[in-house]
Amino acid sequence: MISARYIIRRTINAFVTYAAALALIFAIPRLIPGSPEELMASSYRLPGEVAAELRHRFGLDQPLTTQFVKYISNVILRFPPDFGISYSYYPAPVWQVVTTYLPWTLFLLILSSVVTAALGLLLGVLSAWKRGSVVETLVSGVSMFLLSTPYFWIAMILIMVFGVYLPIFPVAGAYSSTVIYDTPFRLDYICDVLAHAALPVMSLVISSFAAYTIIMRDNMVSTLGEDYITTAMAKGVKTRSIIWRHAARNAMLPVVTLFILRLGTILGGAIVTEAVFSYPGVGSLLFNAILNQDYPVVQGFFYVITGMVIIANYVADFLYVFMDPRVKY
Amino acid sequence: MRFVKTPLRALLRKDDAAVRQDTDEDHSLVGGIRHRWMEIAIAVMHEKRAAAGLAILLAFVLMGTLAPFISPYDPFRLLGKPYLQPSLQHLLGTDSLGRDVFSQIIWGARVSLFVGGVVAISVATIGVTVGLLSATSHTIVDEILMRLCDILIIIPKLPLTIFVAAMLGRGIWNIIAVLAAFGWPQMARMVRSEALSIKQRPYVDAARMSGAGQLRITFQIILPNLLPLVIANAILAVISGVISEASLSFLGLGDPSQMSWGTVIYFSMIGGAIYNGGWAWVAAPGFCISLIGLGTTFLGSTINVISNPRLRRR
Repeated sequence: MISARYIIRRTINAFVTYAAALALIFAIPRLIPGSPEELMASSYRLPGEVAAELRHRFGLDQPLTTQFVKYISNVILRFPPDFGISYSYYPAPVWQVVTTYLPWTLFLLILSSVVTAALGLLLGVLSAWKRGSVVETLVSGVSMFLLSTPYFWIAMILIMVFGVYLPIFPVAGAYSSTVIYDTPFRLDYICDVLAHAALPVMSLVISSFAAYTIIMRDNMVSTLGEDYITTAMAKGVKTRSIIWRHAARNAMLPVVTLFILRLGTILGGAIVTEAVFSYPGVGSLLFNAILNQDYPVVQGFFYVITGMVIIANYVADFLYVFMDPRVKY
Repeated sequence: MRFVKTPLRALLRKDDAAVRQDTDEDHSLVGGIRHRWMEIAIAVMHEKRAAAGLAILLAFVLMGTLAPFISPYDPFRLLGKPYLQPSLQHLLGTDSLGRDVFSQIIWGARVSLFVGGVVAISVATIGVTVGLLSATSHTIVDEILMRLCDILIIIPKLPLTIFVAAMLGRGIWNIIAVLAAFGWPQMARMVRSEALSIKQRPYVDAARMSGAGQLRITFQIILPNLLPLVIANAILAVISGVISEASLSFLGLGDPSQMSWGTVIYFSMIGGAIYNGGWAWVAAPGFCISLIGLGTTFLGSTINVISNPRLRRR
């Protein structure tokens, strides 16, 4: 089982990573050439004194150390963390802006991760069991091809196929803006949301299931070679039971960690995918914030998603121990 | 992986004995390694997938290099009617401004592969430097470098890349710099763990006993043994460079003066190819990226399997 030393070490690591991420989030907008107040002043053609005044109001005329202490205390000591006011959604606080967009991204992320993992595992098991057959060649060929296919390209192909040639699904937004519902808990609203999510989820699934298929297939192949599988076959256990209950359950273990470790990658993919479908998630938010030089929102975005990934990684470290009794730390 | 077949197996069995024999004969570790290199190269080429991967990559490299000679038109020149369907005159049709898509794809190979290649070389260089430094230095330096890796790995890379690239401005070298700056941690981690395991092997002890210094051990013994792994992963890094560049270009953050595959997809998006029957215009650049991916995966993973003993048992 888990030793106290392992828990302490992991926890310290997670906190060090969190602290360093905080520092990096602080540093990023300050390392970039040009400063927000000059950009604001020049885009509105304001005189130099106004830029100086803005500089003073944002606290940017104070020494970096003072700014840093203030930033840390605002982010750590307050809940919700205070990243200031968004420039482009003035006067909404950053936290409020980010949490308005976040649920849509989480919805996409969770739905597509689950479907991706399920499809990937299924195909992996299938191609391991049908080794040497046409099925295997087909599955591994397609997986290898899709392994490095850009998300946004799949998204465009899907829009072309399902939006233009076979118009089944809506191609933009997260819900129909023409109908206004009094409550979100209505069947037609839920169907509407699911229909809008169909293409984004499909493009995420198609471009990311291959990683699971390939790993699952390799694990299955080596698991199927183990003695206890031969024993089960000799005992006359049904094939289906051998595949799913004996082999797949053990072969799945590394895939679970992969599921969590890929969270960051899928998040990155979700951002670009959201841009294609103008889906109102944090990806679209980040993209607009970057275009508008809305640094506080960019910082809030990185804080939230980095926090999510750090927590997910921390959980993954322990989850593995609970699932596989052979692993000891 | 199942593409380990008979010639390789025979070779692998021979491998250890062959290396031992080499060191017995001429006492030169480097000689033994050079010999092993040839064996790895031969074993890789015996694998159908690796050969196919290499063929795909070479074809695209050739296409990119010869772009000025083989592309039928100037990719930026306005030639005629927009949204032409594929024909003998325009193999992939024309775009919304009446430019030849096929020429854009050929020139795109040049730009995309250039970015992918330079990014991969930079990532490998930084990764090897940091990894070796981390594996051979004091615990504090090691700890600091590895925490840095952790952080860069944990912060989702694409958003960070998008942000920094947007701030730096649209230039091909800016994109390369950003992708290299955030791409190395995985390579560094892998080099470090492999170097640590090589350090434990008897031949390193033997070298140390015979008076080799730290530098000599690092650069003449550990590094050459790492190289197959580094090369395999550098090949895999090419495709991630190509895809990242395409993602940036697709979001409109690419270099407007260069026609990469990402730029072609970007133009097809804003040019409304989807709604104007420009299926070839949309499909071709992405298909090329996937083919590059297929080539690098075939070649890179085969080199990995052959040169990395821990992957061999499958």
